Amino acid sequence: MHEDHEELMELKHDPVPGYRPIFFVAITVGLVYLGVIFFNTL
Amino acid sequence: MISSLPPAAPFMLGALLLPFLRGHVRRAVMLALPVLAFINLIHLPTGDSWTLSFLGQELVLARIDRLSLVFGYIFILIGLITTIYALHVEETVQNVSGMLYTGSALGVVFAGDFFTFFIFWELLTVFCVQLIWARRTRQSMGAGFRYLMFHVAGGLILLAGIVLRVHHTGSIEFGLIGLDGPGSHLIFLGLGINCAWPLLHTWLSDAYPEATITGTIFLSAFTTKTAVYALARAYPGTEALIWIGAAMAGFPIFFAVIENDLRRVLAYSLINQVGFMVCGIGIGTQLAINGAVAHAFNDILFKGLLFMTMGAVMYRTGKINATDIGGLYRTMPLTCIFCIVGAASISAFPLFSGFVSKSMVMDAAGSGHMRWIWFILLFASAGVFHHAGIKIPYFAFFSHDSGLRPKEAPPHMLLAMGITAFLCIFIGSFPQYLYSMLPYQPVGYEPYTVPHVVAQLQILFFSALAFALLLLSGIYPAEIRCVNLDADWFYRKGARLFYGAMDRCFNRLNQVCDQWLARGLTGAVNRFCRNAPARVSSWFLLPFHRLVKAGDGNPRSLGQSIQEAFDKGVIPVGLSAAVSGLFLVLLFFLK
Amino acid sequence: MHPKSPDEKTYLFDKPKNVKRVFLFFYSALVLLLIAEFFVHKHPHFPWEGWWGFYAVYGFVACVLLVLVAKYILRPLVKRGEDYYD
Repeated sequence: MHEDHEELMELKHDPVPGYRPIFFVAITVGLVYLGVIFFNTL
Repeated sequence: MISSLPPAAPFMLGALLLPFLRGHVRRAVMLALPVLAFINLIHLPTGDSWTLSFLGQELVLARIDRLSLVFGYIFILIGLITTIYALHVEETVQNVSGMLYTGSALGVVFAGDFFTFFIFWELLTVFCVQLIWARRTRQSMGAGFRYLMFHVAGGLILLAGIVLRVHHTGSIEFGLIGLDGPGSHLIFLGLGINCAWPLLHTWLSDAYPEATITGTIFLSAFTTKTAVYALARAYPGTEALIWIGAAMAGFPIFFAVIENDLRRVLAYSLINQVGFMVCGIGIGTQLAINGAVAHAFNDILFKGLLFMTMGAVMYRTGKINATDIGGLYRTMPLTCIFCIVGAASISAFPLFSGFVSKSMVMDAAGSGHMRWIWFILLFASAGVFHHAGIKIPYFAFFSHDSGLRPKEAPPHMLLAMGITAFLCIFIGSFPQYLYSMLPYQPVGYEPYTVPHVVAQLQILFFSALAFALLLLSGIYPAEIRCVNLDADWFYRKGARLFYGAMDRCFNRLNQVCDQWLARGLTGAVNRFCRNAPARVSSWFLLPFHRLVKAGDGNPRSLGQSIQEAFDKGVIPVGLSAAVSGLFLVLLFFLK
Repeated sequence: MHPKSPDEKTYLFDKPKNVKRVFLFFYSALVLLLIAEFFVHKHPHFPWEGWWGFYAVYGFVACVLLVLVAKYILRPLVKRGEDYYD
């Protein structure tokens, strides 16, 4: 066990470069496709 | 043919022995009690036994039917597993309370009448609180008191309902009730408090994370599940339960996402899972009730397993916040694997136990063409994977390296977790054994169809994709050490406000009364009474005195001398007679 | 994150190669599941279940919305300091 262990106040999740555009594309495609499905079936 | 005891008796009587035993003997007895209870249970005849006459009514201590038996089996099983897990605890209060708590839960599910039911129901609260207080922190003391208040209030509502109900029907038999009149609504609400319905759920997310490491395992198994049993017994097919259950399944996952204390995350997901059961009971078809009961059975195991793995982490590191731990897979690999099994089971991965029971409730909602309920339940299924299935193992065992290198969990904890993990996989892979215990036979449900498996895997893997992408793109909310307000704000802050208001209102009133009545008025009356004779006398005598001694008299000295005479009790007889006569005249006129 | 002492052993996911493998397995599973759906004969309760990839899209969108709502709506409403109730 490390002696210098300290408790964080906040555990942030740093972005990995390149993933943000992928995420936005994926959620846009998902929302549109889900919208199409519900438009046709509900 | 009564050769066996009531189902609760082995635990209740055995627990009374424990304080007199020490060390290995006590541990052996604690391990033997669930086994004895099981042997006792399978020897009890189907139907009512242990019926006692009480005030002209019949008490039933052992109503054995398919519904009560399946709950009885799982309660005894989790009692055994938790006892193994808690073998290192030698603390009389915890040991005894754990056994009595298990016994009370058995007492509730096998009670055939309201009286027995209510007694054991209240005992559940009493022993549960002991397991919370046994942590002996300031937070656990507070949470325990709030738990007690909440459940005492719930118990009173239940009691009021029972009294109305018994008065109405004339029978104390506890069976199918349904919503039909004030008594039944109050009972419904009383059961709902133990079932952690939305807005009534705060005792659970407040107290469970504050209990002892081993106590929480007991807690997660009994209180809510006995309520589920009672609802399945008394209110199957009640439509309100469908919506209550859907709300329970839906809202806690939002809180779970932003919660930092991993045991509190599990507490929220416990509410979410109970939501599926409540919803199934509300739907009320045979498939739905079977599904609700099967899910209760499985949930006791996988939620117990998850709480056990988090307990092991707490036992070794003393920490449970996501911000404090992380990367523990390095030195606690077995605990990590067991946690993943529990997470896979609660997320309903094929071949794990949640899959074979949660889908029954989903299927029942689908068969009933309840599309909104179905959407909410599907959302909750994806959400539970997100927060319980991924968040718990990821933040505890992977994520950032906290630098902690604790030892692996002790052998008895590993054994308990191993047994539970094995059962989760066994039930998931061979559901027929669980199905054969369910209340309605034949079950006639087949979870392992190709479209079902593919659909379930799709929803889980793409939920995982969402988690991965959110995390990698830095959008996933940071874990922050904080308090998240919930509906308990109303009584935690509200009570303080109430206390403050009462303090101001009544203490101010008290002060005013003290000043004006106690001191002012009484003092004035006192003074008046003491001085009245002298005053009256001097008023009367003053004119005569002036007449007699006109010119050189000093009226003030007369008043003083009269006052002196009264103080010393040396009043001239004539004066006394005059005053007495005057008093008589006064009385005459007043009359 | 923490300076590693030189004598400490390297664990499973300390090697980036192993992390990469996990992700490779994960992504191929996603693709396989979507392909597999073409060969599955479904008997749905609801019409939308019959659409290709419905469960995958629903699961993904549901989880993203869950996290966004929790982060941007719920957290600002309910987050307080650790000693709020003390």
